[in-house]
Amino acid sequence: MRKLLPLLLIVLAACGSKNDEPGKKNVNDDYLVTLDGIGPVKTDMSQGELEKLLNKKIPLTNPWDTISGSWMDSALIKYKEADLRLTFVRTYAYSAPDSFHMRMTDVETSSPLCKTKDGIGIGSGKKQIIDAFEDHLLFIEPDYEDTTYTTRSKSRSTIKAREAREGREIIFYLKDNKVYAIKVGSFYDDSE
Amino acid sequence: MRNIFCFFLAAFFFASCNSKKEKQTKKKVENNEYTISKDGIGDLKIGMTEPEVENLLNQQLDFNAMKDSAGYWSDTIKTKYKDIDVSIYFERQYSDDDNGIMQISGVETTSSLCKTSSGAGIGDEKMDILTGYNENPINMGPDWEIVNDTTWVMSKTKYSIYVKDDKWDKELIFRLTNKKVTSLQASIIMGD
Repeated sequence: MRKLLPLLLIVLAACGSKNDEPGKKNVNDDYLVTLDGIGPVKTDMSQGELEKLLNKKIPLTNPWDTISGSWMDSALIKYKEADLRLTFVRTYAYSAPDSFHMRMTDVETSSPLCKTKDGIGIGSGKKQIIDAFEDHLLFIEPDYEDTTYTTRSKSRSTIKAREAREGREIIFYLKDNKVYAIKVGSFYDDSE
Repeated sequence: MRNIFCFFLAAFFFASCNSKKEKQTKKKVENNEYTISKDGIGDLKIGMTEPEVENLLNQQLDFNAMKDSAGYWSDTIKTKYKDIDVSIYFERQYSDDDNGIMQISGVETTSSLCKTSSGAGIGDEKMDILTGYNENPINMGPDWEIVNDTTWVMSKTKYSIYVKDDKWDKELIFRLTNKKVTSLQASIIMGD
C-alpha cells in the first residue's frame, strides 16, 4: 500500500501540470498574437514597411503581373523561428493614377511559438479559447466537408474572436478540437 | 495509508456515478413536452398565427399594442404554456389575403422545465450548451449595455449565445447572467 501512494501522487501531479498549460501566459512579445498581428508584424503594414522591419525582401510577383491583373498576392516568410504566410492586396493611392503599394491584410501561422497573451496557441482547445476571449464576440463555425457546402465537418472548425461585429479578428483553425493554425486579419460585411 | 487509498477509490466512484446520473438526466428530456428547438417550445411554434395560438392555449390573447392608435407591428404576450411561463413575441405579417395577421416570431422562457434536446437548460454554463451544438454555427459574446445616448459598453455579467443552422432562418438564443443560463428563446433571425 505504501508503494501505491507515490504512484498516485505522481499521477495527480501530472494531471495538475497538464491543467496548468492552458493558463501559461505568453511572455515572448516577439511571437505575441494580438488583434493587430503577430509580434511586430502588423496587419495593414505595407510591403516596404515589412521589408524594413524584417530586413529582407518579400517575394511578391503579382504586383508586376500586367497580364492577369491580379490584385492579391501572398508570401511565405521566415520571421525569427516562425514560418508566416502573409497575404497582400493592392492599395491604390489617390495622388497619382495607377499608383499603388501592396498592403498586408492578414498573417497566418502554424508555429507553436506564436501565442496570445493568455497562452492560446497551437494545440489549445475550444474551451481555452472561449475562456480566454470571454470579453470578445466569438463566431464558432464547423467547416464544410465538401465543396457544395452541404455537409458540416465533425472534426474541423474555426473560431473567430473580434471586439465588434466587424473589424480586426483572430481566427483559430481547429481539428479534433485542437488549434492547428492561427490567422490575424479583419472582417467587414460586404452585404451591408 | 489504507484510508487514503480508500478515499481516492471513493472519490473516483462518486465522480463516475455523478457523470452517469447527468447523462441519464439529459437523455430523459429528449421527449419532453417542453423541449425547445429553433422552431419553438413543444407545440408552441414560430409562425403560428394568433387564432392558432389562442386555440392551443385555450385563451384569448390581449394585445396591448393593438390599443395604440398610432398603429403597431409587433407585441409581446406573457402567458402560461402548460405549466411554464412564456413570453410570446408576435409580429404583424402583411400580405393581400391575410389582412395583416399576427404571427409568432419568437418564444422565450425562464422555466427550468424547458430544455434543449441535448438537455441544456436554465442554470447550465456555456460549454454545456456548446457541446450539444458541435455542428452548428454559433455567435456568442457579452451583451451591449447603454451608458448614455452615444455610448455602449460590453456587459460584465450578461452574455448571449446564438445557435443557428444552415437554413439561417431561425435561431436558439441562450441568455446568461453571471455565466449561468437564465433564459431560453427560439426566434426568427432578425436582419441587422
